[in-house]
Amino acid sequence: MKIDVLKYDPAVDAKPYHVTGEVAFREKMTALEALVEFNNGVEAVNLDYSCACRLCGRCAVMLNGTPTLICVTPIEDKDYTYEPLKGFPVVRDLIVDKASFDDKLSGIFNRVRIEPFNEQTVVPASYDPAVRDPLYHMEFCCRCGVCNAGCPAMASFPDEYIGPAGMLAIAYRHLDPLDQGDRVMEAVNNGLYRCIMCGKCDELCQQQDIAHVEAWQMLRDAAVARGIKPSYA
Amino acid sequence: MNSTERSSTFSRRDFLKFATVGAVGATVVGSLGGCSTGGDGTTPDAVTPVEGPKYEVINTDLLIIGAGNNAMSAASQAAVAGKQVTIVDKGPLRHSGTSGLSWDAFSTIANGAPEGQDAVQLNHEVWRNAVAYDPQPLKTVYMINHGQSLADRNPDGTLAGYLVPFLSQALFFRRETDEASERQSTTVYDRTMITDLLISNGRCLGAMGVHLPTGNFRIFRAPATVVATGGCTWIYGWFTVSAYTIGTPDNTADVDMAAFRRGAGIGDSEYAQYDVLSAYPAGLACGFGSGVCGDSQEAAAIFDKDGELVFEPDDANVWDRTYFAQHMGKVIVEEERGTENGGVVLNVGDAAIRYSNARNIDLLKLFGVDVRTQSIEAVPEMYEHGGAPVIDGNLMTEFEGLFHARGAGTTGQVGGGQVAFNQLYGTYAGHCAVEYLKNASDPGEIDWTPAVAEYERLQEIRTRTVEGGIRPHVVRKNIQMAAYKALGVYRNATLMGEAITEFERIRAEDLPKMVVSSDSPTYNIEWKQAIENYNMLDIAEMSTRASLMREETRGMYLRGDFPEKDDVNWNCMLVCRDKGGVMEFEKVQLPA
Repeated sequence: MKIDVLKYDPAVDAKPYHVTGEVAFREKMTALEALVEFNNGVEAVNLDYSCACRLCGRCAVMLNGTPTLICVTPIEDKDYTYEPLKGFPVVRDLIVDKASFDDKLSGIFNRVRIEPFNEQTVVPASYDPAVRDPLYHMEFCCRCGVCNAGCPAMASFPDEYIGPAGMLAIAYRHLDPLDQGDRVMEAVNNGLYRCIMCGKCDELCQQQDIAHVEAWQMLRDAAVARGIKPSYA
Repeated sequence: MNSTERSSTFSRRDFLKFATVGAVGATVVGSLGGCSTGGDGTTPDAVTPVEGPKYEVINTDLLIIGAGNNAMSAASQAAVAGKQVTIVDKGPLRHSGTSGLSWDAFSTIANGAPEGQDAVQLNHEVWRNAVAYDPQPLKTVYMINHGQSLADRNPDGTLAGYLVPFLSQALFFRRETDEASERQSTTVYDRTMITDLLISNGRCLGAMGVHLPTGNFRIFRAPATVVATGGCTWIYGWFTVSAYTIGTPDNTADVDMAAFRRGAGIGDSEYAQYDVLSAYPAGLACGFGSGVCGDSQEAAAIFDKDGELVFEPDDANVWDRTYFAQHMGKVIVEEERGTENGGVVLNVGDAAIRYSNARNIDLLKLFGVDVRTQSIEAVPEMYEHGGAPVIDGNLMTEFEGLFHARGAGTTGQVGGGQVAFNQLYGTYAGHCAVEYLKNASDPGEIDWTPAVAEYERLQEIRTRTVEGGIRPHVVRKNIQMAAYKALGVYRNATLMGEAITEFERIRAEDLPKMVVSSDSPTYNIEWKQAIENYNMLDIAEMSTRASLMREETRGMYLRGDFPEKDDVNWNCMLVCRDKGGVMEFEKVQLPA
């Protein structure tokens, strides 16, 4: 396979440049394996991967133009191009800086409550399976940023739409019966209705069990029930 | 192109200048020099930043090295006590180590003693202290207040095991990290690899290392430091993109081996924990987010290479983790019934699988693997490993002011506490550090020479040129394959002896020839790997020597040549010290 990697050291290079080389295809190979083979056999590539099993989110790159978690992506015997994940500043080669994205997500994920629980007030909340199942599946979001990198609505409304990763965090706490925040307002405020419901996030996300568009519909239904649908929607 | 006037050469004089004026909170960041040419996009010749990276000095009340479950528990505790806390995370915050994985960590939060701790391997004094201190023994309450939804439920929606000490399943670590990093009194410096401790006159004044995105040398000054950097399992073998572990490349024992080189005694390095994870396709090997388990609850699905069950159907001992691992060792190695990669065969069939693995069935189908209808190779993977500095009853190491939240003796022969004890000991470590600060004296004059030496050591690794140089990943794989031979669920003197011979060869031949492809300090993965390789070799060799010396079977592995436990000769901890470059071991009795 011809493997093409976009390299770039901002402290040294005037601009990014391509390096190519041959990597032998193996049956049932992952895109990460091919990149590691390239690194070992052709030229060093700086990528910061960790878990190799879609849990840490660090190996997200653009693979042939598609945002991808390469550690769990099967490849075929053909040519591949690796570029850094779109939408984030490039630190070096395929390593991008997601600190700002991550901090903002984290702020949303923190539960909103009047006061902490104690032994008396912690109730064995009986989760309705309609709540429990999507909530549990959303736990597996590894915050890789692949969804944001491929979202057309984010590209069209960068000032208004937070993107699927942030909207998922909002949906998560909306579902959490122990959360006391106004997550529906938060969703609308963060561009819920700028999302065009195209399903690209569902298509790109490699946690197959997370149902993004269903979550956006749930939030929309709640917004309508509250009467806070924006005038442009 | 403009170059700045200021000298960009790191010098001891610069350091001492700051120390004598008593600068606190001073940050000196050097200038970027050099200019890039090559308008056609090609890499220009010889224009790396002028004369190397800069240094920064960062000051805090309490330094916590690590950002996982254990570290965040310590941070929470210290913040509650009103301390300004600085966390240093080697990886990107919330994505580092095993706590940086969005996995359903079904390890328990427990109030019981670490498994099998009837024997003296546990430091019972520190155990009792930590349990006595624990401000919230009801872990359900603790976890829910730290953001957990506990979405794993009974079919009727009720929480299983409500308000009991144990929780099983549905713990997602990022909730904890989200909570801890939200506090105003907590500052995080991430993507910063600590490579050495700042020890001055036997006292720990902080730590130092590399800010990976820039290559800058960072020195963190603090009157108290807590180490919570996890166990190193990345030494254990190598497939294609992963070692035989659910662990991560973040955990390479950097801080523990730095303590070792500075004179600390390291204990419990022979101990590890294992379970069984699928290893096919090779790129998905040992991934909890991509494979299936052969754990105690899946014992009926575990077969040898010829299709015979590994565990008898009525074998109730499978729930004893020690027995589970030792029996694996016996079957795979001693009885030679293991697969080529030293594993077993999982035949899941229609059996009920916990959700966190069942969700991987569809992922594996993308690779043409259907675990419901075909068998799949699985291997014992190392998910925990001991080997940490010895501590006293307050988790303080032999360096005043340095606390270790998983120090030697905290979990003893269990080889690391995983989730269960990280939260307990992390909380206690935070508390002990805070208490220490109440009476801590001023450090007086600071000897900066170790910092200068460490800076120079790191730059030498980055800029070294050698005829016939070896790249770090090659050296690393040599370490990992030797450690795989020595540190599995089955060990004997022959295997460990061969591994030690190889470790000695790597140290003498490979390490001095290890070079990196690029000397640019900007997020230089090979430079990082090269630095880590020294630590990986130290802990791999130390663990093997300790295990070789311990002529008995204790902990989660079977010593084939000494299959019985020997309380007469080995009812003790083995502590390793660096004596002029030689690893020496002594037997130590722990507090009862």
